Order: sequence, then C-alpha cells, then structure tokens
Amino acid sequence: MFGHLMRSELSRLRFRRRAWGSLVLMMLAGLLIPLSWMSQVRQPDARELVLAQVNLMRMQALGQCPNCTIHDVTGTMDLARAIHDGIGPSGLVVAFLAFMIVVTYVGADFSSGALATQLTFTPRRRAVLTARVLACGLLGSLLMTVGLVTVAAVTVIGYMAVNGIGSLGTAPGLLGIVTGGAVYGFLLGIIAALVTFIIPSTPLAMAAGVAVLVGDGVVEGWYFNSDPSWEVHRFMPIVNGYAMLMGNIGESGALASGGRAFLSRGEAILYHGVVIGVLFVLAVLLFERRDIKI
Amino acid sequence: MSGVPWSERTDEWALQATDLVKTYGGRRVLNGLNLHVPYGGVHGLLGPNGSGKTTSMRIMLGLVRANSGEARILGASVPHGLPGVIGRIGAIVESPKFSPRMTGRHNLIVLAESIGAPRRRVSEVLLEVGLEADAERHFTTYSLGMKQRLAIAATLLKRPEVLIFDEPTNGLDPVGIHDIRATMRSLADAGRTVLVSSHILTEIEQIADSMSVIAGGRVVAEGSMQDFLSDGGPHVRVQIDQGVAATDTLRSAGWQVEVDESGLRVSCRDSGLPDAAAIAETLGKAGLWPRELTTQRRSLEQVFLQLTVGADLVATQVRRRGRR
Repeated sequence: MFGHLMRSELSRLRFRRRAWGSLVLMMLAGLLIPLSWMSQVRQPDARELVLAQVNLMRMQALGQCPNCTIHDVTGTMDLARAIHDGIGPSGLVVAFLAFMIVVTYVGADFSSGALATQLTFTPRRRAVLTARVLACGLLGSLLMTVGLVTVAAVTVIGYMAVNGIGSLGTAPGLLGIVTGGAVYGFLLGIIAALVTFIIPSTPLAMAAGVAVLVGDGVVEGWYFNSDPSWEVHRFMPIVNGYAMLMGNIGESGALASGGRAFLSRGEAILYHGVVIGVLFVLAVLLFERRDIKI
Repeated sequence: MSGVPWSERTDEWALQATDLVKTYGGRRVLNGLNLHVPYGGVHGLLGPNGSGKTTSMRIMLGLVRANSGEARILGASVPHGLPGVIGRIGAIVESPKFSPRMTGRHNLIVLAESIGAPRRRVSEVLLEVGLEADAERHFTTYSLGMKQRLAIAATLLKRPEVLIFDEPTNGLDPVGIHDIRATMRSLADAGRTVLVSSHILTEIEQIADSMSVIAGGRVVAEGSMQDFLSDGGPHVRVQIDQGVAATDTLRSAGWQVEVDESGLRVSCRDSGLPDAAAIAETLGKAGLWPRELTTQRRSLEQVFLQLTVGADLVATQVRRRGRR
C-alpha cells in the first residue's frame, strides 16, 4: 500500500512541470548568486599586495587579527576562501529558495483540489502525508544539489578564467558542502512539506518560512549582544542550516578544523530530526481531522 | 406495492447515513441526515443549492468529518472502515480536480499507481471514455466536458461497484450533459450503484431509479421514482353529472376511483397512466357522458416543491400506496 503511494508520488514528481521548472529556476539562481563574490575571486595585484602587507603588519603590531592572511586584508579570494566564504553561505540562500519551491509544490495540490481526488483513492491520510513529505524531501535534495553544484561550477570556472587553469589546485570542503547541502535539502524539503500540511495555504506557509528567518535573525542579534555564548545559537535554524552545509562550525562561524566544534553536522541533523518529528506529529493530527472542502 | 417505508425495505444498503450532523463555523449544514441508497441502479440526491448534498457526499468519502452520526458505505463505517472498501468506490465531487499542469494520462497514471493498478488500465479507461486522442494534453487545456470524462475515467480505474457523482453535468453543453447522463445510466445498467446529486429535477427524473430529497440539511423524502410520481400520481380527472353511477361503473371495470369536490379522480391499480379513451368508452357503454376528461400527471417538480418549499421541512417518508 505505502509502496504504491510512494511510487505514485515519485511519478507525480517526475510528471509535474513545476518540479522541472523549479530545477531550472534553481540553476538560474545558481548562475546569479556567485556574481556577489566573483569580482573578488582573483589574486591581488602588486599594488594591492604591497598595501595589504603594510596593513597586515600594522594590525598584527597592534595585536589585531592574529590569524589574518593577506587575502583577509585585500578582500580578494583564493579558491579555498571562495568555497568557505562564498559557496558555503550561499547554500543558505539556495536552501531558502528550495523551501519556498517545495511549499508551492505541495500547496498547489491543496489549491487545485488534486489532493482531494487522491484521498478518494487512498483515504489513509497519514500514509498520503508521509509519502508526499518524503517525495518533497527528494525534491528539496535535488533542488539544493542543483543549486549548489551550479554555484560551485560558476565559481570554479570563474576562478580558472581569471587565474588560469593551473591555479586551480584543490577545492577543500567543496564536496562536503555539496553533500551536506543535499542532505540539508532533503530535511528542509520535508520540513517545508510538513509546514504546508499544517498551514494548507501557500502564501501563509511561505510567510511562516519568512517569519522563522526574520525571527531567527532578531533572536540571534539580541542574544549575540546580551549573551554571545553558543548555547542559544545551537537552537537557531540558520546556524543549524549552516552547520549542515559547512560541517563543524565554531564561534566565528569558521570551520573548526581539529579544534573545538561548537556545532557539528551530526548535531544539526539531530536538530532537524527533532523539528521534523514535532512537525510530523502536528501535521498528522491536523491533517487527519481536517475537512477537505476543495 | 407495499406500504413498507423505504428505510425498512432492506437491511443492506450500498450507502447509509444515520443522523449525520455537520456544522461549519457554527452553521449547521447537515441537521440529522438519514440517507438510504440501495444496491444497483441510479439513486438521485435532489435538493436546492446549499441543502447539504455535497457535504453528505464528502462525508461518505471521508473527505469531511461529521460532528455526529454514522455513515456507512458498502457496509463499512466511514471514515475508519473506508480504506477497506475504497477500491470499490469511484467518486467525482463537484468539479473534477487534477493537477492542472500534468497531462490527462499522467494524472491517471499517478492515481493508478497509488492503488497498484497497472498502467495498461489507464489506456483502457481513456479509451472507454473517448479521451485517448487528448490524453497527452495538459489537464488545464481540457474543456469542462473533457475534464468530466477524465474524472469518470479516473473512477473507472478501480472497477468500482459504487459511483458517487456530485452535480456531474454542471456547466456542460447539451451534448456533454447527454453523454454524462448516458454514461451514468449505462454504469447502473451494468449492475453498479450510482449516487448522483443534482438540483436539476429533469436530470434526476430522467436517469434515477430512486431518490432522496434533501432540504435544510436533512432528507425530507426518499423512495423509488415510482413512489414519488405515483404519490398522488398520474390520473384522469372526470367531470360528470352522474357521479355515483359513474363511480360504480368505473370501479366495476377495474379502475380506482376517488371522489372529491371537483369530480372523479380515476387512476390505475398499477400506478400507470390511465387511458382516458378507455374511461370514456366504459362510461359511454353505461350511458354516462362526461362533461370533461383531463389526464393529469404529477411531475417531479410538483413533488420537489411540495417537499422543499414550505413552512416546515419535517422529514416525511414516502410510502408506497397499495392501490388495488
């Protein structure tokens, strides 16, 4: 029974124009997002280098920024930095887009009434919800992967175009970001679908997503000023999303390579698992009792 | 004909509702609805707009939860027993609803896969409803008639025993209306139970074998079409000066005669339409000459208006009258 439903949901995903259109949309976003840092992805010229060295020595003499490199001062990016400061954080923008797309994917079936037709075939609402939510997880994962791969491809190609093919070297952490993004997309797709089942209105579910984002910013800003400890941050969705993308993150948001990790990817997965569990119970309770009038 | 109330004629109904109550935001949409749909044939659910037809059907399909009361379909309690019988039920509630940006075929494939039906069944039902040629078009490009046919194709994916159609001819052109009615009739003739709701009297009169009249959220009458139409049904009104003699003559000839202030009301024992010429001949042979003979047939419209328009809508049970 559930196997049939799951197969049907995967076919729906394959047949729905919206799903394919959203992958193209994500690819377009992936082409545009790197524009915000592409001008910095280059080696500093001789003049910038001299100025930067002077500034760096002055800062270090004053005890400021002891770990800074020449790139921190010039504002230019090598590939490793482009991956860490560009591609990684851009995953949060891609994730937000993926969330919104999944909400419209699920919401469209509520508004078209297709869900009502489905329920006249399979009245087990919990099974319908579970299958749809898992399919949305897959959609979210695909969206994130397409978005991040496009962003990474544009960045790497742009880097090679500016600095030459020989300059490429290794791309540390890139595979981890794309893999983490795919898993994050899966979890986020599930969350987006559950939110839409709880609030069966596309605009309201989207508004809920924006509200969480704004709320996260406000709370983090407030706590950062009053109590910069990481305990509160551990429970914030953006920080957990960032940890999903970047792996272990520390206080400054940097990769905690070898040192103490404030939030690990494993903890972030657990966080999203708990959120999904709570939302699933709520969605089942509401959806089981809801009158389907459209 | 027996005098047994419709609801007591059998213990087994294809669909049955008992004291269903449903409120939306404090507004009572169903007010203790009792419904009995027999196995086989077309059963019409007739009622004015807003009377509770769609809500009743949605409850039967588990889409809407009743506040109280019980609904059963094919013997299974709704909603808990519904998954066990849903494979034997097809339904179109209000307008057909599918994913607009998917083709007709893809919409059906998704539904077929969800119940484990093979894909070849999709081609079969598309052929059955005459949509094979347009199967690759997006649902949103379909005319209303094509959408209805796709919805019927969807219901046939399951090879259902019970089909529920909610106002299926709404918005269709005359050809579409004819096609849908013919389809419903043929489904019933093939042994299936068809429950169809409508506010169009002629539609129900043309295709239904039995019906329930719903008004104010409750069934105010239910029975076979014959029950409805023969309840004060077809008769010949005879105006004649020799009323007593005419009554005796007609009764001896086998007619059923009632006398009222406007003359004689002559009807057949089998509830059929009496032949006015035969009545005139019978009276003429006895030397009795009527001043006027008028054939009168009670229309469904009269029945409907009598049941639904009035000061109170107390449920009445249409009983078969034994006219012997």
